Amino acid sequence: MTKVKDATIPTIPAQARLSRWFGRNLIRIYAFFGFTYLFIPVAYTFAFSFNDSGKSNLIWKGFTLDNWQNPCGAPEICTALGNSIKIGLLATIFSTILGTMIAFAIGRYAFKGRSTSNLLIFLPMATPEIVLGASLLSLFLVFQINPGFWPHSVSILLRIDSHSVKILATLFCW
Amino acid sequence: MSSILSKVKLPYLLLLPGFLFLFTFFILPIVNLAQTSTQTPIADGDTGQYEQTFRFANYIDAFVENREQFARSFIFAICATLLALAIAYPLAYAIAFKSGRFKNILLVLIIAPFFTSFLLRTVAWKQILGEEGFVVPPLRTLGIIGESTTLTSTSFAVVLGMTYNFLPFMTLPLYASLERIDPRTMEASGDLYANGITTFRRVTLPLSMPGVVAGTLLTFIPAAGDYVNAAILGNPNSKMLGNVIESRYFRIVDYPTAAALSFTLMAAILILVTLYIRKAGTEELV
Repeated sequence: MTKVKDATIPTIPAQARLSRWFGRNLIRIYAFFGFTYLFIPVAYTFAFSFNDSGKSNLIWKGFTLDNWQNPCGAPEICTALGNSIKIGLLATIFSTILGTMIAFAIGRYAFKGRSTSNLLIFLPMATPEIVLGASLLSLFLVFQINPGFWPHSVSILLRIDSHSVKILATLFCW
Repeated sequence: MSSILSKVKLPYLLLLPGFLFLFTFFILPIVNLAQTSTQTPIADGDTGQYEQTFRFANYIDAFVENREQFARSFIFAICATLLALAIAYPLAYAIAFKSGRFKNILLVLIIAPFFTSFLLRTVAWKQILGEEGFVVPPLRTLGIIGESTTLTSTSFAVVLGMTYNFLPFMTLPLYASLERIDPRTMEASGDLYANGITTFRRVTLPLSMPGVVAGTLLTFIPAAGDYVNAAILGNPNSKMLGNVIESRYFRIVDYPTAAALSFTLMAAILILVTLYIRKAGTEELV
């Protein structure tokens, strides 16, 4: 009985197999690099929070947990954190309420002035942040309101509001 | 009868609170800013004191004085938008079609960088690209960049930072529109003997155009007005219009010039965006 020669079974050379795998997974490899790009600064910041650096945090000098020991130690850090959370929550709640109402009106109803409303929603989005901030600040100065918690909340709300309206309006249109 | 009346009124009632808010905190400040833009300094006043003289030449002066930064803002923003599109499209494609059960995790990962502050991440880039970071020394050893070349304080770093910071804004709309494509349309294309590239060019890409338009706008608009990246990663020769507005407003207290520049920037963005949307032919965003 003669043995069937190996050559009759088409085997793919290792090199071709590799390049075929590469071709099939190219997009996954690309995505992996994309995610790496996204996470480099985050990982870097996290790693350097363990740096035993003293004042300047530029060069790696050794591992320490000191920076994590006393999170409220640095003055104002915990107050600032509290403010961030409060402003973030307030802005989210109000922009969801206002945004949903506007988006519902624009997405579900045909009415006079609909496209004007749409434009008015888009304008704050097309306004650079620095312009929004500066114009709000000068308004507050005209009315002699000192910058602080409430003005800051309003300026963030303005930013988020128009974005959330756009996203919700698209959802309601479907 | 009353139900018809309320039906007519309902959308207006829904719009009322939001528009009251927008009126007070967007229209009023913008009108106030418009007023400021044509003021001139009071003759014997202190710095920062201005009076209304309706001097529209403020706009021309401000533009001529800052035309370099103006051009740079748009060139940088366009570069960052194109780069972000090139990075985000395959990323969104991989998440939408190739990620299987990891889809939701990957979507969270796209938003995850937002959990660290935008400023902190930009400062981290400054250090990563700095002389002691882990990018420059290896590149020097390999001879890819010269001894005297630096990566921080360059236009390259500013564009890289902007691309980075606006990447999620590009990826999410792209993902949303790719996700909506019925995979059967791609199968049908294959049944008609189109190869992978043709299927992408004739089926997938056209169907994902709304996402491309939304993503490029969400990236381009904030990028054109950005000043943080240029301030942290740039040098005096890579200043953008946002930086000029910021310094005029908060440091030199030259409110009229800052206001005039703000309006010029807004107008330029609006014109470009309108042209773009006309050309791309989608009503998705506006």
